[in-house]
Amino acid sequence: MTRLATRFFLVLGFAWIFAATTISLSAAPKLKVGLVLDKGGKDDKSFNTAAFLGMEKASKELAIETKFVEGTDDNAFEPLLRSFAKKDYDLILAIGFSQAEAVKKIAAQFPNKKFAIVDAEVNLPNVRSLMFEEHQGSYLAGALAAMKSKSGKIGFIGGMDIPLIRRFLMGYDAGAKSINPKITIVTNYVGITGDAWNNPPKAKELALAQYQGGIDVIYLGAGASNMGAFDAAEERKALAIGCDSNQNRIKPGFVLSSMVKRVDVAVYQTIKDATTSTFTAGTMRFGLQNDGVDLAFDEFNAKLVDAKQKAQIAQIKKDIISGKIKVPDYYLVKK
Amino acid sequence: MSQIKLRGIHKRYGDCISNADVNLDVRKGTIQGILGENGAGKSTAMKILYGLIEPDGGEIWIDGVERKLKSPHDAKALGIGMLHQHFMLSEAQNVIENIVLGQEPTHPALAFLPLALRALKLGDARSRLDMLMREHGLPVDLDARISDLSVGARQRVEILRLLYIDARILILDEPTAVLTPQEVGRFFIQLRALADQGKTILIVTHKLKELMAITDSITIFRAGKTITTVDTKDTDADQLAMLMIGSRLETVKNRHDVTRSAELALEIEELELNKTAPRRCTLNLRRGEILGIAGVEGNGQHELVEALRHPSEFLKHHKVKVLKFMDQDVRHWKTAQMVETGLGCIPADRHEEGLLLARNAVQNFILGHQNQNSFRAGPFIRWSAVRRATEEGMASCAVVPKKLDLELSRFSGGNQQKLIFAREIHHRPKLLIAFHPTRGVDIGAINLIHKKLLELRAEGLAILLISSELDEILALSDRIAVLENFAIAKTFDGGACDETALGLAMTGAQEGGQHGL
Amino acid sequence: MAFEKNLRSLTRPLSALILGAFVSAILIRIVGESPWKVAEIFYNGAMGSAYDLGLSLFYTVPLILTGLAVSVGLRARLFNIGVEGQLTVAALAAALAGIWGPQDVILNRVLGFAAALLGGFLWGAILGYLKARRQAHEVVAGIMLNFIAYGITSWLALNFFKNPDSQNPETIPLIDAVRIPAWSYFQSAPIGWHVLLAPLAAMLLWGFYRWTEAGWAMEAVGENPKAAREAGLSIAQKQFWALAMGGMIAGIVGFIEVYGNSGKFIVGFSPAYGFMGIAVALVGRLHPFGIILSAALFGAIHKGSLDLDFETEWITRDFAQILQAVLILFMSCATLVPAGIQNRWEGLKRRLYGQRP
Repeated sequence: MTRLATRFFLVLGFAWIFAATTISLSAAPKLKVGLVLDKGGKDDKSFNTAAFLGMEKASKELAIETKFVEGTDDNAFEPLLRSFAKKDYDLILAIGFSQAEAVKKIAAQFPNKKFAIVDAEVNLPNVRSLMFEEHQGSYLAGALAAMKSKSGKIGFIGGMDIPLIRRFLMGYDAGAKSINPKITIVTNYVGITGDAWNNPPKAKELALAQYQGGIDVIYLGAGASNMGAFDAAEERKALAIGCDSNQNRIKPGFVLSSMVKRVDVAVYQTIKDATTSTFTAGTMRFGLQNDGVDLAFDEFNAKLVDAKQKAQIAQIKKDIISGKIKVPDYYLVKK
Repeated sequence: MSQIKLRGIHKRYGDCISNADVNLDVRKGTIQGILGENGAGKSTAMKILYGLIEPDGGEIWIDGVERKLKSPHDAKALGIGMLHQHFMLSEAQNVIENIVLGQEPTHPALAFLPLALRALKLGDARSRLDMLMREHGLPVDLDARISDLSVGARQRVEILRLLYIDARILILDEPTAVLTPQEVGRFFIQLRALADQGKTILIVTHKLKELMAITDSITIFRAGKTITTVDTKDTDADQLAMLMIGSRLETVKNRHDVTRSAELALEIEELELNKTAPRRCTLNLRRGEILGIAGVEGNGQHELVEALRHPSEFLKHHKVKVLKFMDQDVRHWKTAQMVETGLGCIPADRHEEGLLLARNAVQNFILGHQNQNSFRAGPFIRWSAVRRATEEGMASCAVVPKKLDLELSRFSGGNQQKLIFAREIHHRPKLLIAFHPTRGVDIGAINLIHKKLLELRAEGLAILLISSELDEILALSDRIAVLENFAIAKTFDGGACDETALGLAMTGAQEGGQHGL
Repeated sequence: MAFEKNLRSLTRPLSALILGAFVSAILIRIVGESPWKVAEIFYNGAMGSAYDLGLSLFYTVPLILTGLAVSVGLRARLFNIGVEGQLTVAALAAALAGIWGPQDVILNRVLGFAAALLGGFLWGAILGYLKARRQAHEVVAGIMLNFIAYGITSWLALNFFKNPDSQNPETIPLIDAVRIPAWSYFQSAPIGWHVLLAPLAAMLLWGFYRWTEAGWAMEAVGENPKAAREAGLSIAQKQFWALAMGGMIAGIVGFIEVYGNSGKFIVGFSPAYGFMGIAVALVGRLHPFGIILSAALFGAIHKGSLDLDFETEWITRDFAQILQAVLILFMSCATLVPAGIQNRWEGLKRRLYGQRP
């Protein structure tokens, strides 16, 4: 009996599995855009999510076809980029500095395809490098943190000790000291490997330790690990500043603000340029002046920042754009 | 009418026929012996009856109904229980937990939970076991841990377990292999009582004496077939032996006609075998001499062998005054050095200590002799030389089947033992430790090993024969030393000694005598 | 006889693979893709072009080596879970040797290879010492040593040899000349002569177990430690060497990564090669050539699943990983799955030869 039943289900299973699946045919040729996300994946609520949203917006508003994939390990980017290039994709977007070498290699092999990369500079005639002036936004974050801090001690938690995060830290440091020259800044990093961007428990631990030590505002630059630090802020009734995407809504009342990096804007802009044949290679910088980076103020943090502070931040922003304030850039200082 | 009836049972593994034509009739309430050499198929037949092995063909009738036994579960449902050669008890648990294992009594309301999460309800089991123990005269402390029990008590636990599941047919596989003579006697009284109460008992063994003492009838297996069944009262040990091996056997006996050399192969003075024992062990052994060590298990036999095999390790924790092997102080020697100087050893447990069961005969033949010059070419093994040696060894000790590439586990116990024996004597050792050399081995192999031991001794080999079989020690030894409480209690001349005297010395009944030699 | 035995050892993993594929097919159908299409993508992804084949090979080669490394331990009845740490240390050692060593091509490569072997050996030897002389459990010690290896290599790489021009956690690169050039056949896949090191290692290991006393002894210790002790073999010594040798074999992965692929030490470069090596070794039945086959299968599956995300609408990266895990799971259970199939095989044989007693 049981044997008969097993066989019956096996046959049924086979039939169902191999039943023909309908294949939809696509219409007239459109611009095809491929997106290769970093290991964090589409739902990291940060960097990769922003890139994905930028493409979503473009696919709604423009006549394009899109496709996205996520990298599994450092060696996977190259074949993924290559697959897009070999197919009839016209524009291929690579998100994150980890893909720099793969883009360099594949873009050289496919000179007729357009490429764009976020957060790294690749100097090839068919590659656009999308760079963000994180130090400017971080300067604002530092200034705001110093204004809110009562203890005169503020913190910084970075994902990993890499140049990009140093750039965050240097801007933050300068911004805070511009408000309170005697302020103390405590710095911690979540980890030493790629896992650092995806380790909320560790970030929470670090944040709790910092709050314990009398720090009342922490600026977070740790990708998906930020989430853990937000939990800590809520537990300790303290403040944290997010980054990349607007993270104010995650713990309303405890997220002071977010240093947004408009990867979505950059991605959208690049796709749009490609549809209108105004795509240019070279480095495109996104800073305060073109809303590429900014501090986010919305209903979720309205109660945390008063009008005076807001005005002060707006003034600093204006001064940076006009060049009155020079924000130190780690990339330049280092050289 | 027969309670158990097997007709034309056959079973083969690959090229190896295990049961060719097995027919068996057993009456209710009798004790029937199953006799045969190792590899004659008796174990397989019993496993088939217990549902552990499915036969390729044949019929099994229980109580007049034909049955298909697909698993021990089916067999248990019919009231068939099996007592395995090696105890299947969990050492860390106590007696009652071991007995109820498999049908743990738990509260019915908890039945939906996995077994591990249910609380045991042992009250009912306890009262039933108390009754069974009284009824059958099998006293055991139900709360004792298995690891604290003697071998005899463990056996009673196994039998209680069978009675607890209402077994009516008991299959006992070599039940006396691990018991002392006294325990065997008690055990047989209990068996007879069980049979008188209507239990049917099948005893698998190759010990003729025991079969003659306990059984009502005996079925003889040879080469996978049942040869015949005889009534015990109409037969004798000689006839049984002949039926079993198919020919008459001459008994091997030391005639004490070889003059021993004066040269000492082994000299032990004041060897501490156990830290808490009051006395230490002193003995020596000449070349061309067989020294039998008699004694109840656990009186220092294992420690003595450890000290000789692994002196440097053993003496880290034990004291000794003199330990000389072939006139050399070996107190700091490692095992390999001992072996290379000419120490051979037939270990007590061939599976555990003597063989690589998953390897072939050649791979096993090099074990212990991996550093022999003739087997080596630098870091490489000269397998061709090892093969030749294996072939010679197998021929000289009549190991069958003579297949060099056969996995060791496919050989019968007797042939495994003969292979070890062949290996240990192949390189002409100076001293051979024969530790239970014929345990669990068929008569043919016993005979061969005994004969070889005497031959080698005539050639000047010193042999330390440690055995629990007094017959063996009495038949072979030039001198007999009794090991009691980790020291030599008494020594006898081989020719002038009998079982009773030995037995008394073994239990420590007699004081005095010479200490040491 | 031998042929039949080989065939049988193949039937089990293969039937497990088929069963795993069947379950995967059900999963695929549930998410709304056609299993046929997925199979095709799998095939094309794994070996549809020279480039794809190259990348399958790229994943296969380290898996052969880690599988061998694990098998050396298992043959001595030791669970070498420290392979991941061993290959990490080896990779850093190779990179440092490459950076510091003479810039002569041959000399530099030889030095890098030696450093990788030594690094892996050293890390395996520590584990071996802890196991053999200090009676630490090799699994616990192995896991801890993995953490330590990870920490130490990251700390060294990022604090002393960090590439200042890169956002990635990596050391400064070797000069291009010493890196092993890729064969053009595989287009731009990083496959050069260094991949031959893996089958070479397998062959040497095969010979080691077959012909040398040390190999025979290491296996004997694993199979029956008590009997080996009685035979005068030092169990501690053999255990030490089994772990240290495993580390050395794992070390070759470090050399291949640094000289054949990235040209530098990247923190976290290994997508768990060491742990996958355990499954590779078990599926390959600890036999060097079986390990090559099973590593090839694992490598192909890894590469093939990479393309699923790309080629299909509904199968995402995570789902592709589920499929990969299902296949590996089934193959790792190969000893359990096809008991029925085994019986059928016996039955079929009997019917073919008509051998009924």
